[in-house]
Amino acid sequence: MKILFFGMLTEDIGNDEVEIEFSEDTESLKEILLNRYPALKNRQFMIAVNKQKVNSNIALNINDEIALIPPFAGG
Amino acid sequence: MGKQFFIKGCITPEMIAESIAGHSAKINIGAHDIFLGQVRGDIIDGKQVKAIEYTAYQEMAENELARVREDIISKYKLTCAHIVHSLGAVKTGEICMFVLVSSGHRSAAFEGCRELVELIKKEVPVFGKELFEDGTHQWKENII
Repeated sequence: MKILFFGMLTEDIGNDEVEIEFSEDTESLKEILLNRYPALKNRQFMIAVNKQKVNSNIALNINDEIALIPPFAGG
Repeated sequence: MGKQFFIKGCITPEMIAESIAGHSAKINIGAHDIFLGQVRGDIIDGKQVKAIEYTAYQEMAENELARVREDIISKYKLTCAHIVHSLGAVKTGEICMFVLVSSGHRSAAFEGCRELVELIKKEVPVFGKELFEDGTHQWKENII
């Protein structure tokens, strides 16, 4: 599944999107990402699924649009 | 809705003037309140910010901007509300956000404008890279 990255996270990953194996839910996805990109352990970020912020562990579908978003700086 | 929330580069005084002028036919308006965000030349570890480069998770940001705008219009029974935010580099001293809130009377305009600006800072996925004069950068975070 494709994961989008924004802001400072793109520098940790070295890209603004990556393809990873399917994860059943947001918690297992987070675990895979933290293992693959240890720099994320020092970052604050939030997961968005289909452009909605996720505050708890939710199930994922293969076609979901998933994004990791760092703290906001608008305005 | 067809609203365009983002523009490339800074917001000019002319754009703001035109937006104000565009309201003269709406004769139920008795009060406008305007918020302008300006890029501040912070000095961090002895280096001055010369610009902020803005990026966004644009589709999500547009959804969130539409949602907070609608929420505030209905909460304060506003006549209208406009939000423009910059993307790309905006130099120190230039305007990076423009919010114009209009209502029949002043208190709804004041309160609605303030709450709308707070919601934009808190809810909308816009990211800012502070660029220093020596070519280095750091990522800005809003204090909520």
